[in-house]
Amino acid sequence: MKTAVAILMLLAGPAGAHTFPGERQVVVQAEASTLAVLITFRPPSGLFSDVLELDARFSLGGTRLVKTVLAARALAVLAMRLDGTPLVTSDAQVKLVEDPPDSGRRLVAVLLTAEVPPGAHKLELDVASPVEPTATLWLDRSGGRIADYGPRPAGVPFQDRGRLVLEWR
Amino acid sequence: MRRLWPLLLVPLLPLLAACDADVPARATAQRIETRAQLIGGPKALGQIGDYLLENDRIRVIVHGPGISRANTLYGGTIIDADLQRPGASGGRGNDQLGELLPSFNLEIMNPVTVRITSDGADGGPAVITVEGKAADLLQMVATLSKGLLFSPELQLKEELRLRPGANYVEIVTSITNTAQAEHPLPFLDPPELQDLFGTEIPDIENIEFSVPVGHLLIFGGENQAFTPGIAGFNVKYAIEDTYATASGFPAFPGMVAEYLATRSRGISYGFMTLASPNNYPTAYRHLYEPRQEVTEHSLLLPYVYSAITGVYTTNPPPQLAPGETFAWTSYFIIGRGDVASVVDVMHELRETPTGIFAGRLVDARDQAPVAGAMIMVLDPAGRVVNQLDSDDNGAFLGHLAPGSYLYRIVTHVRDTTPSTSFKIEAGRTTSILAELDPPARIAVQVVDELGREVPSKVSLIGRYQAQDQGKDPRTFLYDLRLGERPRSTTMDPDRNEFIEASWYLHDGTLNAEVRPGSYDLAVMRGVEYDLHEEPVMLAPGAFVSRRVVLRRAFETPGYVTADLHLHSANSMDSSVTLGERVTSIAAEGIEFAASTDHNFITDYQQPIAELGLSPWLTATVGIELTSLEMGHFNAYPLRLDPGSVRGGTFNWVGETPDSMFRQLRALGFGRDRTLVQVNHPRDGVQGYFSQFNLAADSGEVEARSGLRAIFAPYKPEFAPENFSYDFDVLEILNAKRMDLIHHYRVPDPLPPGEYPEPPPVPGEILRDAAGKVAFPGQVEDWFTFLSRGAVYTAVGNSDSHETFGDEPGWPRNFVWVGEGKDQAGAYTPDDVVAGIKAGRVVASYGPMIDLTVEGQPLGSLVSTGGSAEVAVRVTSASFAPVDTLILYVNGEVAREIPIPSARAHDFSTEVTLPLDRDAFIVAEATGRSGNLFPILPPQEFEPLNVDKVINALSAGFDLTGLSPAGDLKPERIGIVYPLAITNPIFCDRDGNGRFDAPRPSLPRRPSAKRAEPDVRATFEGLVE
Repeated sequence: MKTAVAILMLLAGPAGAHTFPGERQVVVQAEASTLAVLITFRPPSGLFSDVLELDARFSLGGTRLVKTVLAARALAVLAMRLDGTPLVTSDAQVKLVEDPPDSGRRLVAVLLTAEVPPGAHKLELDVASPVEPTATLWLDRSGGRIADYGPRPAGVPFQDRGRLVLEWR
Repeated sequence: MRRLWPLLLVPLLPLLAACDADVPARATAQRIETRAQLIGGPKALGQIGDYLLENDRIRVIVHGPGISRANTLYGGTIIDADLQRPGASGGRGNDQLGELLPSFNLEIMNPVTVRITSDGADGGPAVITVEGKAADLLQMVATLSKGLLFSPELQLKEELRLRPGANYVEIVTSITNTAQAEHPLPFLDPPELQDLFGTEIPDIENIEFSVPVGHLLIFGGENQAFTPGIAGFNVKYAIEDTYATASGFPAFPGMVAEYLATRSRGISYGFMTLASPNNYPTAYRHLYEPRQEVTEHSLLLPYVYSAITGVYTTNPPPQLAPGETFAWTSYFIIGRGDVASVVDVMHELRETPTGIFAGRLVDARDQAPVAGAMIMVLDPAGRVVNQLDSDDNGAFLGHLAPGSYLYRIVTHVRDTTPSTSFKIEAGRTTSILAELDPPARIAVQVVDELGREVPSKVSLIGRYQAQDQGKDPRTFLYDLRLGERPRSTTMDPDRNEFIEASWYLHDGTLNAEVRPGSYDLAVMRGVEYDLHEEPVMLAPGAFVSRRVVLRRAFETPGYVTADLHLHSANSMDSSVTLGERVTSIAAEGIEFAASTDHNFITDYQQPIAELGLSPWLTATVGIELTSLEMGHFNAYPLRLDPGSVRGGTFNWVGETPDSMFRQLRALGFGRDRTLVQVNHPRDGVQGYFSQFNLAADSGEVEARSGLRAIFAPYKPEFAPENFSYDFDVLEILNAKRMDLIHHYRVPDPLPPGEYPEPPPVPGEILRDAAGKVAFPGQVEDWFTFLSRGAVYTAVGNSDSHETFGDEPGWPRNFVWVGEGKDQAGAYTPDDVVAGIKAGRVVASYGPMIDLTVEGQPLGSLVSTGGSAEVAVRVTSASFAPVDTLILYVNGEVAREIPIPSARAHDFSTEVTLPLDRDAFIVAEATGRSGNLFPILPPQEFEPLNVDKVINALSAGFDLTGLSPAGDLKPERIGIVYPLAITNPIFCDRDGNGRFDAPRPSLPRRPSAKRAEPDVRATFEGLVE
């Protein structure tokens, strides 16, 4: 236990000189018959990141746990509904990278895909009081299927708490 | 009990004091994570994700990396700075700094990283380090800059260090040669530069260049810049004065000064260096002296351009070995509001022995303290060396080096006191008690014919001695060095009036102190009310009151007056608070205003409501998207995002015009409801058409050649095919820029001078050697567009950044909103937008023109047959006589009609104009013999322009290739005269139901397809 604490302190020392807030970006991409949501999340510096880093370095599972924990935290403040019911995804991929490269700073990226059948549909994505600064925006690659939107036009993010609404025609 | 509760704290006081004493002063550096860490203030731009450097004295915010949301291109710069203030957390501070960034010759830094390299936890300095590569600030000078610096091989770095207890940030800037070979500075010698330019520059081979480095300081518009010596508070003009005696390279032109400081409300800033063997002015001392005094810690100020002050401090070594780093240190100081509080810190840093200069100012009549006075300290030769402010008790205190001095006391409501001598001894205090003569007091109530107290403007008009007529007013009427207020004159050799003081009244009442004297009281309210004048005698200590009834000069039913280009303190280069702004607009009789701050979305609604101006003024939310060298673009109405530090999210850096226009419409309500307006399109580096080299005759972008091609923007966004015609409104009248209205014509008679062959023909449009219009006019640009079927609504706006001398509402627009709707509350911003989109607008410096064709109004398409029955009525107030009416058909003068003086304020005529094809008809009324003073004072002094800088830079070699026609060029100073121009009425002669433009359509290329971002590609690109 003493060894673990010592290692933790060694890691935390230098990190303390470089403090970073966490940040999250949510990009909803409307497509012709699908919907892609890319969530990127960078944890804040501090004990949480240090423990994860410790685990990544010394546990047998490598970065698996880190990836899982960060992905869960990336998604924690989001709720998505398609036509009033919770969004059912057809695919989910997760990547854990260093960003910038070789910086030692972890960033998790989660790519979700969901089907959007022909016809009118309404997506609601709620961002609930995130701890980390969060930017949410949407992109239109739907080939003209987006009939209405709120609160911002395509490509223009809103910050932190709020609701994104997209309507397919 | 309520009164007694503070007593309960008394036993705790020693404990609290002990706590305070026990906590050591700390400096910290941290990433901003909450809004509570932000500074706030008129120029604050910090946001979450930036970096905060603070100690017990000051706070500074450093912009995170990436594209800048401030004034230049990239982050990593100091953008907010304030003193520590009780209760100022969470954005309630008083930041008035625009930006501070390093300058490597003509390049800036594009940071790769912004890092906290010491958080101050060890009790030492907190340090933020910015590292990156060089980038062009202005693409126009990139070739020269690359040649001198050759930045690709250089790694740039800046450490911002804050020590506990310090009122300054120590800035250590460095360049490292990352190449495997020596890096000379300058990198290329003159013949190689000539090869780089690829064109002949006469005499360049004889030039020795230098590569000064330093910083760019962008002070908020609230700041008055000050340097000791020849300038005092006259920094801008003093720099220009030094150009006349510039010795030429290798010494860059400009003013040498010991330090740079500012004065403002509650905060001041300073910039200085310590003695250094690499001091730039010292390296070229022989070229600056004896005209300017050089010391081992001098600064060189080469220019103040558009609020950017260049400050070069350091001369790098002639070459850097591989891997070698060269560093230099500068100091950014934060003071309490006057220059002296900055200089006090400078004395500490330079370890200069000092004594104290302190005192108190009282009014001689009642011994009341005189607050806010400036105590100007001069050396025995009369050069201004320091400045102190008196506080609310009339007291002041500062430190001066031992020696003999003079002081003078400046207030705006008294004559400046004569010089009084005093001495300072090290470690001793010299104190004074000064009694100042009392000012006079004036009260005015302004009402309209209905007895309503109306927003209005009041001025006091004085007269100077006849023997001073023809002299520069700065030499006898006021002294800018001392910080005295400029007093506008008539610029008329037969009139010796000047404006002593002016006020904008939001409720028609004035109660103010004034400098005693004999004046004319002038009361006015924009273009639609006559000027009221009456004499007043204001003796020292006297009180005078007047009640004035303003009379309406003419009616404009269905129209409202609109200014669609206005700035306030949300613009970096303006000091006008929102309250002052809406008051000034309403007082100038403007009924509809678009707020258009530089890269900032502003809403006037709250100050309008707070000041009770809703019955007079309606406003819409807007922006002026301001690029550094692609032009300025307004958009309105917009949505305001209260959660954004700038009111919305947008970017201009590296963007094409189409991209900017698209962003602007997205910030608003789309193409149908939001208008995009091109501002002052021919205003040099700030003009969209100028920067794309739009040919006036064709309305199309043309390639540049010779030197003009070298000193031009070069990046992909400036590719000719990126010029966009996709805007709605064109600003053809801007501020007092009478020189930009029409094509420049050769003066008649031709002034003496050397001219190329064939010589210019007096009275003709001046053209360059290639036959292109040398100085295009914005009206003729608009005519070219109309004649090629591109219909934009023409407008005229004040672009006002300040108040007096830069008045809002001049020029303005009469915009049709509908019969019976021209009262506040009866029309909406959408009505104004509809009037603009319909082209029912008259742009005006005073007169109103009612133009009809076959009885149809502006913007109409009229079926005419072979002739058009045109009716015109021109009306104006008493101060705006017109003498000429011009009718244009398809952009050509069809009739020029003299207006007799007896009908100068109300002239009507009917004209039959023959038409040989479809046509657009425009009317213009002018009164060139008129002078709108005192309603609108002249443009007396020329703001610094690029020509002057280039002339100074080119001392020793020949850059005349940049000037299209030698010394012939439009005059940028002069009176403003009455002028109005209508939007067109379109005539359908051939009866096909549309207007067929007389010339071929402009090339409408399909919008370039943007590379749309794709989250799947982004995800794929991430490497685990």
